[in-house]
Order: sequence, then C-alpha cells, then structure tokens
Amino acid sequence: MPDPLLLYSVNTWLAYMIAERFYSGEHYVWCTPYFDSRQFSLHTADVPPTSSPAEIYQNLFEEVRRGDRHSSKIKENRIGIFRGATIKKDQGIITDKQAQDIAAILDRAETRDFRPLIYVMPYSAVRTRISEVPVADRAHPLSVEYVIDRLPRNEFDVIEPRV
Amino acid sequence: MSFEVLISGITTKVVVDAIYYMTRLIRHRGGARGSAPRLLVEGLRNEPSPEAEALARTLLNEVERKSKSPIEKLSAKEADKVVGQLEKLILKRYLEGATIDRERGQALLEELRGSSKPPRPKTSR
Repeated sequence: MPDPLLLYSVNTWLAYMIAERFYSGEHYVWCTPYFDSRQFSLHTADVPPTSSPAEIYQNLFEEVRRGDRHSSKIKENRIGIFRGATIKKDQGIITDKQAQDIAAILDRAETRDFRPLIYVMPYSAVRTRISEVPVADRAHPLSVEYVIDRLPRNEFDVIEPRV
Repeated sequence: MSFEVLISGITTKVVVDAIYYMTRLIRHRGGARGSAPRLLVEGLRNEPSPEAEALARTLLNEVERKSKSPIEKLSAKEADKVVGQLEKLILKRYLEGATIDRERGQALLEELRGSSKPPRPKTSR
C-alpha cells in the first residue's frame, strides 16, 4: 500500500485537555489512514467498526448528545485516562498530586466532557513516530491501524464538527 | 470469584494495565481470532506487561465462566456491564490510600472547560 496522505483518530475532549494541561501537549492516539472505511471497497480499506474513526465519532457523539450516563465508550475512555495518568506518574512526567488532580477531574466529569474530537495528521509528519499494529494483532486482519504514544500538538489538527 | 479477589495482592500498575488491556479485548471481541485473541502492539512503549496480560486473561476467563460463553460471543449488554465493573475497579484501585478533592476537581474541570472554545491549534512556526 502506498503511504497514506493523512491519518485520522477520534478522542474525547477530556482526554485532549488532560494531555494539553498535564502532559505538555503530548497526546496518545490510535489512528488509521481511513476516516470512514464504508466509503471504500473491502479490498482497499477494511477497518472494523471498533476502529473506524467515523463510526467511533458518530456513536460517541450520539451518546453524548443523549446524555447517556451508561455509555460504555465513555467508561472505556475514563479507564484509558486513568491508565495514562498511571504511566505518566511512573515516568515522573506528572507528580502524585497531579495524578490525584486528574482523578478528581475524572470524578467530576460529566457526559458532555467526553464529546468526540477528530484528530487529523499528515502521515509524512508523524511517520517516524508511528507504531504499526501487527497484522496478527489487529482488530481485523485486513485493517490498518497505527499507535502514536507521544504526538505533539503541532503535528495534528483538531476538528469538532457541529453535526 | 470476584474481580476484587483476583486482583488482590497485585500491584496497582499491573492491575491498571490489565483492566485497560481487557477493555481493548472486549471492544474488539467481534473480530476475535479464536478464544485467545491478542491485541498488543509489539515495540510500542508502555504496552501492558506480560504480567498485566496474564491478569487480563484471568479476568477474562472469569467473565467467560460467569457468562458461560466465550468472549467473542459476549452480548453488547454483558460487555457494557463488564466495562462498568472494570471502571469502578480501576477507580477504587487508583485511589487506594488517596482521597479525591471534589471541590478542586470541579474547579479544574471548569478551568479546562473555559480554556477550550474551540481547541486552539498550535503552530510550529
């Protein structure tokens, strides 16, 4: 496959803000070269719904719009943010006090704070930072997924469509 | 056996990693390849350790035992319930020995809300 032009990722507003405030603007993202794999044939882009930015965005947007307090996606995001804080604390990037602040923020966060944001990044700018999810470990054997664990803010754009 | 019993005596880091990894396995269960899917990204810093992966498997086995079905057959409702239990578990473990300052949490949250309309891009120049 030729190098993609762009990579797309969907994250929550709260995850974005915590990375900006506590992690010096370095973000942890899972991303794919296809925003909406449903626009392509199965032979060119097969991203499972659990990894498709378009579907993640739509589902999360709807859950936030409905004020769904039992949203599984939001619970997963809370777990991810807790885990991120644990790692950053272990690495000495944040202090115990800051880790407690993050926990306190998560404790008070409302459904609306988990609204989705779309990150768009040029592949050429981040290619040296990406880790490709091995075929055997992907959510779908034909999907293409990458992880970037320290993505600086000046290497991606953030879009928050008002649907 | 409850999750709490299964994680007792295990370090917070391993527990947090295991819970995080388990949510990944549950989320991708529809594409699970057999009964022991792996979703680790080799070479990526901070991926769950072998200990965390093993604990996630133990927790997952418990879910399968209770639901009497393999993970890939777990219904959306059952999966949501498990993720909810994991969220409570991680919060409890994360806060062990610490207290949440709710007033400060609210103030920080308000500060974040007030500083991001809309997210401002930073430029490299």
